[in-house]
Amino acid sequence: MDPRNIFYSVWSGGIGALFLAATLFGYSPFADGGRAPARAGIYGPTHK
Amino acid sequence: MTGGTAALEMEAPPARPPAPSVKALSCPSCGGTINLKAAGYTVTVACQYCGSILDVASPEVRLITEYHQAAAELEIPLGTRGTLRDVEWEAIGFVRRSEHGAYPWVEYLLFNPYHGYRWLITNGRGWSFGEMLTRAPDWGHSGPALDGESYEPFFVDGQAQVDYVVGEFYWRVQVGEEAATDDYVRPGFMLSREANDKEVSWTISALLKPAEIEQAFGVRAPRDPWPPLPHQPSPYRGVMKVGARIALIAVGVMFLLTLLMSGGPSLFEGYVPVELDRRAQNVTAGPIEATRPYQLISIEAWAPNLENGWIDLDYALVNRATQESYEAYGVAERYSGRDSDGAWSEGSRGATTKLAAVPRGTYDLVVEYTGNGWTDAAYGSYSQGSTLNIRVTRASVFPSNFVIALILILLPLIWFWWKHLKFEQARQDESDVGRTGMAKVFTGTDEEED
Amino acid sequence: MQKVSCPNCGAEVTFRSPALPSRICDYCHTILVRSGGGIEQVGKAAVLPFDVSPIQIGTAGTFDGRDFTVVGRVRWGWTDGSWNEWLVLFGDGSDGWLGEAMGQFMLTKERPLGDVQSDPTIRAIILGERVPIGTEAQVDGETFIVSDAREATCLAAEGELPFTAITGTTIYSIDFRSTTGALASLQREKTLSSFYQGRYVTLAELRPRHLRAIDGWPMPAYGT
Repeated sequence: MDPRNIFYSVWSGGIGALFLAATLFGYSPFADGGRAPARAGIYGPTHK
Repeated sequence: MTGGTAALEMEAPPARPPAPSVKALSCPSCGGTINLKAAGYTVTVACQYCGSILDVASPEVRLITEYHQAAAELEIPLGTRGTLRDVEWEAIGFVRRSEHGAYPWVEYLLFNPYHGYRWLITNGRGWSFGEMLTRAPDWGHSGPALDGESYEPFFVDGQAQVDYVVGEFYWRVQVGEEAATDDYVRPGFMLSREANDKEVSWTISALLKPAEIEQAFGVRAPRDPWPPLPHQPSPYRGVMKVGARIALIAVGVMFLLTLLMSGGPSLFEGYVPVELDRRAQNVTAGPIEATRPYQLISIEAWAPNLENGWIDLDYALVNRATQESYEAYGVAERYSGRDSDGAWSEGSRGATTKLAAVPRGTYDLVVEYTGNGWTDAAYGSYSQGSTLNIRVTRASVFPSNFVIALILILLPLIWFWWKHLKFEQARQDESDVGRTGMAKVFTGTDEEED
Repeated sequence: MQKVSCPNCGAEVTFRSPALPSRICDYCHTILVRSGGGIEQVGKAAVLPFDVSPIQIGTAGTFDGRDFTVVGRVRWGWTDGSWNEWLVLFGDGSDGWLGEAMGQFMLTKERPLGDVQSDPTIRAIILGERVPIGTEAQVDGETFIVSDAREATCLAAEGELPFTAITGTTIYSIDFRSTTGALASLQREKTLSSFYQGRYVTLAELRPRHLRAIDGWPMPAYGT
């Protein structure tokens, strides 16, 4: 097999493994875990 | 079978000593001895010593054109044998041709008495192994087709002339002789048409790997010629084909996982009244049972009557057993009014907040919520009271993770495709036809010149 | 099979096919013709010029599932070269020609002129006209194109033949090609025409045996 395809298999396998790990761990990079910084003072409409 | 079969059951021909493979002639110009390798087929000989053109069609050798020039030094000396594609061939003739002096290339005539003639063609950047066709190709929509494979036009309306010859040939070869040429390609193969006023012939030639030609005739060929040869297969095509299969498997597995572990049931639902009075209030929702080893918890808050105000939401998901707390923050805000353009509104009456990697356990959700009204005279009055609905679910992490993984998996494929595109563009830029298909679609306006 | 002594040199001469009237003595090259019960000498054939053809008298093979044996040859020459026509004898007693030119092989069988002379091009040639290269002709609904037309002279011959191949005999020979690899040829000697039709073949597809051994060249595995 082409070495580039071997690399690609490893790459895809790695991504798949990370995906599986994230799934089992309930991890999502878009979660809001932890405390968000205070947003005092920036409330209100932005309508002009 | 008829009685005639008996006539065929005759004795094998008497074993004779092998016929000689060469016929010796002497050049009428220089007297040098020429060993004819394809006696019976050869019509013209260009003497390897003096370059004179001889007619050997009839038993007495006739001098056609007399020259007194030293033979060119050939990369493959005539008489060299090599095994290509399982058959041994001898180089017996050499022709150097060009497009009226430009783009020179050379052709070696190969011979094997049991297999006939073949061609070795090179322009110095790659070698091809050609065979004359005994039939004309079919005609597809954009070019000829042979054995179900279609070919794209590459060189169109060429004029090839013979600049130099040495060796023996099965036709009357002449320096200066011209032919109209057209070349068509598919990856790895070139289909060439040559026509003069007497006949049309087609030749199919296969691009030889550098290792093949080096093994057969001991000549070196560049490994990755640039720009690519007309019929050079893109080195990315095969990688992409296998790569697409690898990607399909990886994505398929992830998709299955996604299906198996999609979002879960609602873990808690409830509501509290909320006033936009800037007063922080607390409410504890629970119990919330997280049953998986780890999960993503989604908290949706929604105030259906919220208008011109916002609600700060501070969440703390507290494990009843360990008092471990997972905290997050959300805000729902909604504004509306009327101006010269008419009514407007912005914001969302709801907020979704996600807590990642929450371990198994029983939890209480402590919600600290503060309602605020927007008190600007320019806007309408804020709503006085609303219901704040809260729902906790075990969320599916997959849509977002899936998209990220998909992009990462496709990234190398896109890279290969991009390289493939660049290769095809460089290849097709050598053509008389120019870029076609994808190579044309992805041509930037700035590089369209030339 | 009929064995006789050459009336010229006394060597044993074999007629393998009862249908082929002409035979050239392998030893003294006398052209023999069977007439009535006897053998007649009608001249001498020239000695074949040396060539490196892989075919020889006795080479056997299979064409379209039918076994054949090579029993004779005529070598034709024209201004720009020469070629071999090998006479092959099939098991049913019919014959055909294995043409060998430019390292390529063609197998054709004679067809009665009545089958093909409805085509105007072919009829014109039979009637003595010359046609330019590129002229089209229809045979059994297939288009054939005149690819070559030339005067050819019999240079030499050997073995058994359906006609008396006198060295020096000149014919007008027209080659037709179709786009599919089918081919035909029309040969006119004075006022007598014959039409042959067949196709290109490769040596390998004929699964030939008893090929001619050529010094220094390995014979293909199928050839022996």
